Amino acid sequence: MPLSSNESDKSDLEERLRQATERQTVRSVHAAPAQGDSSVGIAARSGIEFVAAIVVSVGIGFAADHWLHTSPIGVLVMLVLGFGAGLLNLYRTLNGIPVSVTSRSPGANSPVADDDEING
Amino acid sequence: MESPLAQFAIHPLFHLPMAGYDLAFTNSSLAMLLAFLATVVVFMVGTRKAAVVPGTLQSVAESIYQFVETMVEDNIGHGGRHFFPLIFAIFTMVLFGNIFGLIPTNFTFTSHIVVTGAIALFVFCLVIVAGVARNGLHWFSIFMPSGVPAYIIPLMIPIEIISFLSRPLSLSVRLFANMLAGHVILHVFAGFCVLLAGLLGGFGIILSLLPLSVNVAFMGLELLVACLQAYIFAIMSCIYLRDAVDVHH
Repeated sequence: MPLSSNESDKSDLEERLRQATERQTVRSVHAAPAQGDSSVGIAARSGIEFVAAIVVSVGIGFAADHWLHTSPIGVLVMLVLGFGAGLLNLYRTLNGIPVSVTSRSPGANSPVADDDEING
Repeated sequence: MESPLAQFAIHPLFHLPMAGYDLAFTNSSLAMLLAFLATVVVFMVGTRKAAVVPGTLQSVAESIYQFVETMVEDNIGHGGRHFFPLIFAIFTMVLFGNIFGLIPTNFTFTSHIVVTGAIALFVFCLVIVAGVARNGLHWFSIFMPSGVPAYIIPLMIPIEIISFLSRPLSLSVRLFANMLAGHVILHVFAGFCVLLAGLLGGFGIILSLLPLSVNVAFMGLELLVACLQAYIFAIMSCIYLRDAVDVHH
């Protein structure tokens, strides 16, 4: 490295500080629709959202059939509706991803950007 | 070898007959009491000195408090401060329940759907009650999707209602299934160690280091899952409660 270690530490710190501030502003701009920050969290909860809607929906259809004696119709109609609701749930859950990707991207590239700026 | 599901059995520690029912104090109750006491101790002792430079326990208490505060503010928004104590209670209870469940021989009360389902149903009912109390009948307009053509609305309203009704199920199943699966895996791999050592003797003991090391790695993963699931449970409650606060979709 061309700079002495002390100076490079300082410029490194300033660079990281600048990036952290940037990240903070980006995050606060996007804060309103945030659906949780971690992508691990989104992955962990997307599967169950889809299934839950179908289970609840078919349950309602089954109960309606039982009371009204309309045997297959209720389950069939509610299965289709439940599928739609499941997709809606999934869409809403996964919509959280773009928010966290934009708020994280400056941090993800930081080591490469640091090296370039110090050497150049 | 006992069944990997035997660890989830509930047995009463002492009986407490009341009005024809047996409100027994079970091992699950004991685990809940432990989690509750641990929460109280951490926050009572942690905030007692209130030093400028926080000690270990104080920084634990402060970071949990700040974490939940940011979560409530980001996800419920203005007017969400009323729900802070609730979200804080849910988060700490689930977090300590999950983490204490990882201590061997300790019971994990969050691995029972009756526990997670009760919390999820409470949040679900609170969304409806608080929503109607704050916005009157106008609250039901959250089922009315905005920006869709008029002819598709009769289809969208039932779909929105089903999506709303599926929330307590997905909220409770997610936590309970994660805890159950994690503890079953830990038990199965621990069972491999016992089997190998029992069947092959000395050589088996050396061989059983293999499942043991897998278990050590899984323990770390389970610690992540324990914290992550508590976080997800709390943040999803926040997102659901947001519907009770602002209705402009």
